[in-house]
This record gives sequence, structure tokens and C-alpha cells, in this order.
Amino acid sequence: MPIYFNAASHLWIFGLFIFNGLLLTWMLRRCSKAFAELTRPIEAQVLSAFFLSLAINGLLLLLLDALSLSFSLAQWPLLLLSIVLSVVVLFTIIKPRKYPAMLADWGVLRALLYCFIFILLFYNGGLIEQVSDAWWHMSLASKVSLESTFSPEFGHLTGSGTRYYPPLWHANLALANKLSGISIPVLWNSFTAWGAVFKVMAFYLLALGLSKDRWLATIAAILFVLLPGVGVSYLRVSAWPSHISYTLWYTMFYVFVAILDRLPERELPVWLSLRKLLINTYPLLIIFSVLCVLVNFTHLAELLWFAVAWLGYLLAASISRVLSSDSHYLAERDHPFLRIGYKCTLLFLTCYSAWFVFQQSNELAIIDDQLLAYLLPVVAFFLLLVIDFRRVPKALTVGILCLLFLLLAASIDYIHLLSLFSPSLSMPTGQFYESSSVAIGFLGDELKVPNWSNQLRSGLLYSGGLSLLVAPLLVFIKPTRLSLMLAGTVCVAFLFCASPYLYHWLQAILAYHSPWRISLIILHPITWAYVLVYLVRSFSKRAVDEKSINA
Amino acid sequence: MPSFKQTVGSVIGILLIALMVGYDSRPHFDQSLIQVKRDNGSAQRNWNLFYGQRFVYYDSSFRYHADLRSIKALIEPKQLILSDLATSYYAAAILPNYVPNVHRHHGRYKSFPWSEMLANRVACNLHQEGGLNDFRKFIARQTLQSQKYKRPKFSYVLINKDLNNRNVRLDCLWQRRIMLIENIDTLASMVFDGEYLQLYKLDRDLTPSTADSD
Repeated sequence: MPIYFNAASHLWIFGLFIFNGLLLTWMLRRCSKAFAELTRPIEAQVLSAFFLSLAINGLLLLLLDALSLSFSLAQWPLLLLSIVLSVVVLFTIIKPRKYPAMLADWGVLRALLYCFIFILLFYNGGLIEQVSDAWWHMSLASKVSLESTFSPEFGHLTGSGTRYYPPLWHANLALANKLSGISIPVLWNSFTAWGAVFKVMAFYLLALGLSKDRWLATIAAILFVLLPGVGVSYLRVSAWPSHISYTLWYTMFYVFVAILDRLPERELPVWLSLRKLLINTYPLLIIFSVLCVLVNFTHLAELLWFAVAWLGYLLAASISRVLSSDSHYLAERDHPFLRIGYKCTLLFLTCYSAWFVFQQSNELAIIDDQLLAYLLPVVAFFLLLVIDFRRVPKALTVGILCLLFLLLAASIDYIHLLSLFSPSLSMPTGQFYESSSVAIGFLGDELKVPNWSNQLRSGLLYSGGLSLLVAPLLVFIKPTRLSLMLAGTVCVAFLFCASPYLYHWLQAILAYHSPWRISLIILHPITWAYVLVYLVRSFSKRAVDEKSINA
Repeated sequence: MPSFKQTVGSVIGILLIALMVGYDSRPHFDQSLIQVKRDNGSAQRNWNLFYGQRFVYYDSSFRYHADLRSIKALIEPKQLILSDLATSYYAAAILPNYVPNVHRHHGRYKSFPWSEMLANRVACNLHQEGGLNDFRKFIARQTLQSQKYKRPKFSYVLINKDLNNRNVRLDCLWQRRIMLIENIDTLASMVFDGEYLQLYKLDRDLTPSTADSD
């Protein structure tokens, strides 16, 4: 096996998945101040280049598909685009020496981290040496390439029956295969190194967006590479569509936080605020919408986890507001937009979960554990809605909160929770790897709980699990956007994984086989980076103070 | 200025976190874990300092690409190919053909009729008396079915001769390949014999009477 194995495929990956996007990113940075500000970190520029390339390729292939033309024809428009963009960049940025559009914030440590990841994953390769879903995806990409269509007529493996799978990443792979002639497994294997770097870069942006602290974000990115997470941190599977989507998902947080940072003053009337927000942030809203569209056509599920993560944040903010003695200590937390959005979401969730109970009523017994499972979220969402109203007396909101806490604590299966640490206590599981385990409810009926073996045990023990204890403490010490997000997400994810009632409801309402993936929203590398930075700074502050005293 | 207690607390906290990170990140630096995982069929999803492309190279389709390219030039597109689980995937990722297999990819385990044949019933009993005959009848039945329902025709058998790929060795169709090769000339003729792969085309007369003779 040669050392520079698959070198040509890396050049093609750069050409098709980076080059045009990078030129376009530089151009957009010249045109839009908001975009230039957003893409100041080098990570944001690289990811913007990748996402724009995916979008351009996807649009082009969609057009060719609609015209029933071969995907190989894409080479001419792409080549033309490269030439046009190169000329424009040459004459608007390089020749007039307006280099700021090409400059970026970067750091030696981060650059070394990304080089290390790339070399490591170049050396490790992608997870294709086992029979896994990767081959299912490669087969689909192969059929997309062979038939030059987003939706091959027959099921790509059996030739009978088919189902929709978000096609953007498969189509991009098919394009690379069609133009380069390099086989899809080779492209997949080579892209793993690029995808791993992109994912870590996106995680850095997520941490940077939430914390506004480059050191914290850098440590979080390093911990992301070191600590086992729940699936998302697996770097050898970075070429899977889900992991492309995770990269987009993390970037969505970064952009969304940038939008929140531009929320108008709280004192303005809501409609005026909305107008001001739209005027101030429309480029960011467009970018955010593009990211949503890309997630939708890459893996889809991350749109849901994005909403769940922000709901976790708003829950934490609402509860901290109830428990806080100072009602005005955090402007961003209490912004009317967020509170209105939160109330509307809770109202929708209360109504939708109540409607779901009504819909399922024919299949339910008069009273059984399933009915309790379906009713618990209705009650929980309603109580959370009540406590968010300012006019409700504080004593009452605290009382409701205690009641809610008791209800949720009672819904947890503690044997199941213990089985996280001791696999011998595990509940019986189904036939397949991803099958749920079965717990017995208060009334003796069967309820579903996640099988801890589904990447959860390795992801949660110990750094992931311990972040459940640490993150709420961070809110107690200083309720910032970061600490609220960390605490809200880890608590929501853990609650759904430990409570058979909530998990059963989530699986039923989503009709999804793997709702345990809610634990993707546990951001423990950022939690530990936060704690480390806090401890180091309190330590170094002492050294600085002593130095100044001596001076 | 932080007190002495706060400073000691910070140092202990940093040390505890360093210990936890060190403990949790052990799998990345544990060379012996690679072999343990391989022996147990557990996927190496995360990076390991000692893992290498050699595993990918030997246990994936990379060494068969020359053979698969030759087959691509010979094979009739959109026909069904029967092969062991791993080789069927390798073929599906490169050839313009379909490959029935029983891997539970994206919850589709129950969705197609080949499971009885491939899920260790017919395919793995080739060595027993009548096993090959059952196999022959199965092929004939599938041929009839594809004609009746206008599905892709079952036309090829792809045999992987590689002795080093760990994935193909797990599949009983690969384990019985010698039996299949020795008897397949009654069903099919060889159209390609490469370094690793052999392709047979099912072109013998498999009339309905053959299929219904039992």
C-alpha cells in the first residue's frame, strides 16, 4: 500500500467541496459586513467554503436531474464558475490589495489541532473495513451516480421498493465519483480526514458562539477530540451523512447565537423590535435558513435536535428566573422575543401532546402506564408554561416547580439508571442493536427505555455523565447564556434517557427508532472546558494579583 | 484576591478534570484495544493512535477495484447479483447492479424476500445432502418471480476468493464457496475470473418444472 494512498482523491475533494465555496466566501465577505464579521474565524471561512460548495453542487445536480441530463455534464458549469469566481476574486480582492476579505482569525494551537486530526484520520481511514451502514450509503451514492438522478428508480440494493433518504451528501459524492472516476469507497475513505476536521472546527464555532471566549472554545475543541461523546465525536465516521449534518448543526448554533446577539433593546415594542431585528440581521437570517435547508437535505433529524437544545436552554432560563432573587440580572435571558417564543413553543407542545393522547385514546386502556406516559408531558409542558408568567405569585411558581420536580423524579426508573454503571442490571432488550430496552411501569405495563449500550454508556461514563452534576452548578455560580445552555441540554437529555415515561412518549410521538440520540445535545466538552478555564483563571488571577502587590 | 483555600481548590479541581480526561481518552491510545475490537467484531468508530489504513485496505473493497472495474465492463446493468454479505456491498458501491442482502441497514431487514435464502438457511446448507438442489430451486423460483413481477432479474453469482478479508470470512456463502464453485457449472458459466473475484452468469435452463419438482 503506497504512503500517498488516494492522494488524487484529496485533490478532487478540495476542488469540488472547497474551492468554489472558498472563492464565493471571499466575495461575500467583501460584499456583506455581517457575513465578514460572522466568518472572521478561519473555521467559519473553511466551513462556509464547504457548505457553499455542497449547496452549489446540489443546485446544479438538481437542475441536471430536472432536465434528465447526465451528472457528468456538471463539470462545465463548475469549471466556468471556478474561472469566473477566480477572475472576480483576482480583480476585486487580490489586485487592488483588499486582502482583509481573505484574512481570518486563527491560532497556532488550533492550526496544530486541525493538522493533527487530518493526519491522524488520513492514517486511520474511514470506518469501511466493517460491514456497516456506510456501505448502504455508498451503494446509494453509486446508484445516484450511475443513474444521474437524486431518486434512483428502484431501491438501490434490492432493486425492489425504495424510500426517501435526504440526498444532498450522496449526490455530492456521486458528482465526485462521476467527474474524477475515483470509486465511491475511496472518496468516502479520503473524505473522512476532511470531515473530521470540519466537525471539530464546527464544534469550536459552537463553543465560541456560546462563550465568546477563544481559549475556552479551543480547549472545548481539544476535549471534543479526546473525550468520547454520544456518537457525534466518532471521528472515523465523519463521512456519513449524519456527521456532515452534525457539522452543519453545530454551525447553526453559531449563527443563531450571532442573531441573538443582535436582538434589539428590550424596551422597544415587540413589532418595532421585530422590524429592527429583520433589518439588522437579514444576512444572518438568510445564512441560518440556508443551513436549515442543507440539514434538511443531508440528514434532517438535526433540525429537531437543534430545537430541543434551544428548548432546553429556555427551560433552564425560565427555571433560573423563578429561583433567582434578582429578576433583572440577565438581559439576554429575559428578552421579550425569547420569552414569547418560549411561551408559544410550550403552548404548542401542550396542545400537540394533548392531541396525541386523544389520537391514541382508542388503543389505550382506561388507565395504564402508556396513558400515564402520554399524559406526563402534557402536564409538564402546561406547568412550565404557567410558571413562566410573571403575574403568577413567586410562592406559587416555586410550589409548581417542586411539584414538577417530584413528578419527573418519580417517573425515572432508578434500576435502569443504575444499569448505566452496571450492565448486569440492564433491562431486557430487543433483537437488534438499536432496539429499546423494556422497563415495567408503576401499573405493571411495559415501557421503553434506551439501551445504554447504544453508544450511550461509552459516551456518558464518565465525563458525559458527570457534566449532569457540574452544569447546573455553573448556572448557580453564574447564569450566563453558556451555562444555561449547558445545564438545560444535559438535564433534558438525561431526563428523557432515564425516565421510561418520557422516553416512551418521545419514541411514540416521533415514530423514530432511536430517540436516544437526544443525548447528542449533551455538550460536555464545553462544560469541562468552562470549568477548566474558570479554575485556571481563578488560579492565575491570584498569581497576577501577587505580582502586582510585589510590584 | 483568591484565598489559599480557593487556590488549593482550583489546583485539585484541575487535577481531577485532568485525571477524568486521561481516563476517558484511554481508548485513543490503547494499542491492545484494536485487536480486542477486531476479535469481537466491534467497530473502531473513534480514532486510535495505532490504527492504520492497512486494516481498511485489507478488509474493504480496495483490493478488488481492478476486478470490479473489469466486471463493470462485462456485466449487464440492473441485474441482480448474489454474493456474500460483504462482497455484495462492495459490488453495490461500484457496479450498476442490485445485490440482495440481509444486513439490517436502516431498518429494512424484513423488507425483502431473500432473507430466507441468505439468512443462514438455504445458503449455508450447501454442504448437506440436497442443499445444492435447494439452492438451484431457489434460483429458479427467483427467476420466475422476476419475470412475473418485472423485478430485476437474478442473473449473476459473484464469488470472492480472498482469504484475508475478515468480513467475507464471516458469511456462510463465502464459507461454502468451494462447494458452490464445484457445482455451479450446472447452473451458470464463468464470465470473469480475476485475482480475487469470480463472476458467474446464470444461463442454464432453469425451467419452471425444475423449480416445482419438489
